[in-house]
Amino acid sequence: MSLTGIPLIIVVALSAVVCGAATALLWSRSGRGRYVVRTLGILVTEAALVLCAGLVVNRSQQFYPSWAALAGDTGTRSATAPVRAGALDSALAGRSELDWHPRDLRRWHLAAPPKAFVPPDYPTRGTARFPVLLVLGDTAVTAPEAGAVTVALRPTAATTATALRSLVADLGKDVRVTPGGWVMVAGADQAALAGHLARTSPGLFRAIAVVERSPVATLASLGRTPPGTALAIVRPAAAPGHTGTSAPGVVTLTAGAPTAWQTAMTWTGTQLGPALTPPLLLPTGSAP
Amino acid sequence: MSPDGTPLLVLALVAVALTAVLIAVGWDRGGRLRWPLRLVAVVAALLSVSATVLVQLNRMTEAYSTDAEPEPEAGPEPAAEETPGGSQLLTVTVAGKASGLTSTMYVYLPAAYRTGTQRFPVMEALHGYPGSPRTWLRKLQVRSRLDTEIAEGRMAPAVVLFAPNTPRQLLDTECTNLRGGPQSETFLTVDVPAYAMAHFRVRTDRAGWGLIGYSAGGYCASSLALRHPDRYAAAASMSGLAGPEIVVGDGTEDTLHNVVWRLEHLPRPPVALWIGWADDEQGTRRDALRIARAARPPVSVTTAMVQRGGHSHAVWRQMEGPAFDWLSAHLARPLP
Repeated sequence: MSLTGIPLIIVVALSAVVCGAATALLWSRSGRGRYVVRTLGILVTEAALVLCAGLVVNRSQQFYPSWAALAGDTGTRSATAPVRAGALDSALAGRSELDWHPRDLRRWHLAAPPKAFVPPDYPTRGTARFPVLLVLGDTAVTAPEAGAVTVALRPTAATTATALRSLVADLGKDVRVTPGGWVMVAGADQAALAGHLARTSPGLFRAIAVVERSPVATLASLGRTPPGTALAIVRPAAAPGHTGTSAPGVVTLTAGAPTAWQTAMTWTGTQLGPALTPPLLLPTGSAP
Repeated sequence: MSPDGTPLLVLALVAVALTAVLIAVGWDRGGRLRWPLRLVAVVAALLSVSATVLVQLNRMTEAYSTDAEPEPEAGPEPAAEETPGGSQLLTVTVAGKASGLTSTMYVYLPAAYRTGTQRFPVMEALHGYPGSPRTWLRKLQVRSRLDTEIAEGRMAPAVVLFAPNTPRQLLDTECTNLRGGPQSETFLTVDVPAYAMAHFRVRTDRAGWGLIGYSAGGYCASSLALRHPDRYAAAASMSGLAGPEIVVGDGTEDTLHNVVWRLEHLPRPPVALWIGWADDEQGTRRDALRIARAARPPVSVTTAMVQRGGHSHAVWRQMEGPAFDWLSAHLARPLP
């Protein structure tokens, strides 16, 4: 009999009535045992009434739609997806830096193979996935961002954003990376490329910083970025008379040539997602 | 005696038994006062049964308790429950300047909070109605769940705030600013963040702030995230509806306070939502699917479902691990 069905409510309601009637009937006819009969009759009738009210409320509110639900059985287990080892994990066991040779490298027309850096805890946290700091431009990255995989690319004039699209998938095969919470740093000449990459992977990049050469530069070359992407511009000097020239919501940082890239990377580092092991997952249900 | 303790329930049951005995034995006694006495006995019996039901309901929802009620904040060190080297659970009092509300709040500090100088992401955890922040601790065992998720690396260390949705247990605010009533929305979205930023090493940017809730708190989480996207980046709703189902007082129950209406009629903010439901609970299932259908970029919706369990603590115990993991992945990491 269903916990929320009418039949159960009728049965319990009838037992309340029957118990009440029986108690009344036996009230003065039970001789010496009448006090016991009366007490038990009252208690059982009260219990049946409370039960009946509870069933009616539960039927309307669906707190416990079934006996299994009442027993605390959800019929569901959350599970973690097994983490897929990166193809380069063994190559990265004893080193934190390597020249990355992904499958599509030739189509990217880079000045040199990308450098990939992993943080010191990459080999020891064998089931963790790390967010990515992607650096596009002519700079010498020498150390990984803590808690993140750093990939440094030197695009050339022949590098197209369309060709670079495969970077995200290629990196995901070779290194253990998170499916979100990435950030990007780009030079002035690579800003358009960075903007395109962010648009083709909406939801992937949380933040983009552009290292500009001119004190009056804007982020115009970046183009439209997905809403919610935090943006920063690093200029070599504060622009005299140009305060507030950045679009609203854009962080303006001032740093000259030797520290400009590091300033940009430090800022994007604050926007990174955490390095995490695969989450507990439930079925996604029948939602579209 | 605590209103949610076993002794009070036993006392109430004893009262039920005694009133039954009183009626059984005293029915034929009392002489000329027999009828008034019978009436008194029957009323006493009804009261004792009602009291027992209320006590048990309170035990199930943890709406009222005197346990771990805070001392008025005496010094800089709030009352703390300690595990050596592990996480901490503090009880603090938030005197809200913006809302004018003063309430007790529990604060979960992860084990990593003890050492170092990191600034942590923050999750505001909202309870159902009836209920209280204690429900998270007692019924959903949230502290050990958080300890586990963080220890397993599925969740980054975070500060979790358990603030009350309402200043009065019998008043359902649904985390709104009730016209002529408590300003719970302001308390939760202005005063609580201000307190946390002033007293704890936490991130202050929207990327580091998220909401999570069950039942009414689930509605609160998704609604507050859409209403305050400048303060929150993500929200997880466990068995939450799309609307408040109360009268807010300004006629916006079905519009500005409705998650689906906002998604369909207002510019959509870049907010990530996690919507979970038990498949045998029709109301929340229907609303969850409506929210999922109405969402368009930049609002992202992740759905999650348990097979059965209705609207119960068992469902939320099952959901909270996946929900906290998801929320952590959608917030920024602790700042070094």
